[in-house]
Amino acid sequence: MLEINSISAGYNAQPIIREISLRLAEGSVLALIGPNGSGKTTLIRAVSGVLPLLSGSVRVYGSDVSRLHPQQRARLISVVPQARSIPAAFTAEEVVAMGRTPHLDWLGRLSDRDQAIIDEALEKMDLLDLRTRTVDQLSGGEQQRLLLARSLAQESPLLLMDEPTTHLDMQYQVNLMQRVYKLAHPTMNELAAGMQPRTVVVTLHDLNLISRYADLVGLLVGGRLAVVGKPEEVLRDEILSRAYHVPLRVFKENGFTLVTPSEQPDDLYDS
Amino acid sequence: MKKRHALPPYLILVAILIASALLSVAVGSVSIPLNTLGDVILSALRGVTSTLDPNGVYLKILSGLRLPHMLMLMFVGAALAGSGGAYQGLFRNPLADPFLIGISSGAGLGAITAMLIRSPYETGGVMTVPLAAFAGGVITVAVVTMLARVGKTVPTTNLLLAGVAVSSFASALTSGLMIQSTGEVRRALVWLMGGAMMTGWQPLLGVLPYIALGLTGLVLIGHPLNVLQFGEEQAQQLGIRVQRVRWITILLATLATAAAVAFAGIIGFVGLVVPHIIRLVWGGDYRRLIPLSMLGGASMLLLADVAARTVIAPQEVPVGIVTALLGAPFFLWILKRSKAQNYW
Repeated sequence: MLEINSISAGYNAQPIIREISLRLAEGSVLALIGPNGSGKTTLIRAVSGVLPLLSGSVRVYGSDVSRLHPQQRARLISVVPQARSIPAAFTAEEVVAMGRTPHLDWLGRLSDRDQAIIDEALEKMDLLDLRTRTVDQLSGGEQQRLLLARSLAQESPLLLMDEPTTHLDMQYQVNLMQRVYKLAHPTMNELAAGMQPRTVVVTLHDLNLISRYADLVGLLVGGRLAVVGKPEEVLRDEILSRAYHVPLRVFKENGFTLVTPSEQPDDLYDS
Repeated sequence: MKKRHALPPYLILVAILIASALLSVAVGSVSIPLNTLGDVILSALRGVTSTLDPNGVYLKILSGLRLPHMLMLMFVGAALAGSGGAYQGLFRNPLADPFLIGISSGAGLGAITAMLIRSPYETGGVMTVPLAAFAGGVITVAVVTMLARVGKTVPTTNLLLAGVAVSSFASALTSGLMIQSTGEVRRALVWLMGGAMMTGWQPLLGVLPYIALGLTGLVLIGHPLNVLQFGEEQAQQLGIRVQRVRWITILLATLATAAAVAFAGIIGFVGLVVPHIIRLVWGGDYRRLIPLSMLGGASMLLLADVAARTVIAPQEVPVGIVTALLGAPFFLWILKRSKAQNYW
């Protein structure tokens, strides 16, 4: 459903990401990893359409994103930013209602159907009890769920998430990534009820979350996509150690892939 | 954006507005007792002579002087408060006010330039003065934004500093122009302090199209302004054409401000105080905030004007002095408060 064809993008005509190509099937989660400054956020911004491309094209279901009206684009692609990036005075429900924007006229009037979609999004993210709270009364984890709920209300098949787990404690990280995984992989019951599987591109810092919650991994190094593949193909000692410039060891535990530095603290002092 | 009970705030503010309006037409050099006022109005509506006003003196005062004056104050107050709310949404800054960020001064400079070329009391003047004020206002917004902007945000300090600088510059030019002009200095000075409310029906009809267009547009722009509160990037990702919304808001708010300045002089703080109180009481949803601010602004200016005419009667104080006396302490309170807690 997502087709990225050799895109380059950056600031002041200076490319940060170069000639990135990628294809993603419906209902899959792609984790973008890479050292700081490797271009993960730039790639998310370029795909979302807010950062003009220097070359190449992004297509969602065949239509060229850069040629779409912003409203049409927002119906196809939603972006989940980091928590702490939403105005404090809005209530949780108001924030989720903003997700309906691309489906509304310019007066922003909500129909009964819009309201039903908002309620459903709140319910899915377990936010019904918090709907009248204002944003500043919510924890970081709740805010992140709220942003995910807003993106659900947007009803876009493609979801872009920029470092959603940063600033979150472990239990919230796991909770959030479980929810994301379930959006891409609905149960038979949900499918029967008409739920469309979402396609997710998510940038992640924590490499240990990947094998659990991502179907594919893309490793960015210096603005280029070094490898794309299944977690077990990308999460390898030699690949990661070279990308992150530090000796890393990958091992398996109960079928999940874990990554840790392979140097002992003593080794660090020696060198 | 849940459908809350939208009626009470509107009801409350309309009630306050009606009370302020009645007070405004009743009070003056000739005070009209409230029961007489009611009888005169009801009789006039039925087309008969009031028994309490057999000579029609009160009716003449009301229809010839006080009614147009009252309507002018209402529109000016609504324009200042409505555009204040819109500027606050646009800059995502609770301290944006047409006066504080220099737009009023810029519009004033435009207006006074046009007045020197052609008196506003001539037929053509009624049309050209607000247009010149509008041009002055738009140029000022552009300059202030350019000076205050850091990347994608407009920090409060920068906004206020740029506003002060541009405002001083425009005021200096305005003063220079006034001294050059012969005879009219005193009237222009009073006008600058917000006391030269033009009287009669003709200026009112002149200002009406501009203010009506500005206010209607601002009422309709609430939803995109709400989305804009999430920042430029998120608004864009939610399907809003950010640049277009920005420009439409600037043009509409500046049109309303400029028309108000052209006909009533420079009146500060209404655009700051009123939206702020509305936001505290009924929340920050711009679809509600802007129309409610307009109602509140109209009431505030009517009441300030009543105070201006009565406090040291028979002397009249320019209404801008009253709003400044009320508004400046309020402004300092907000400034202190917004540092203490980050509720914005």
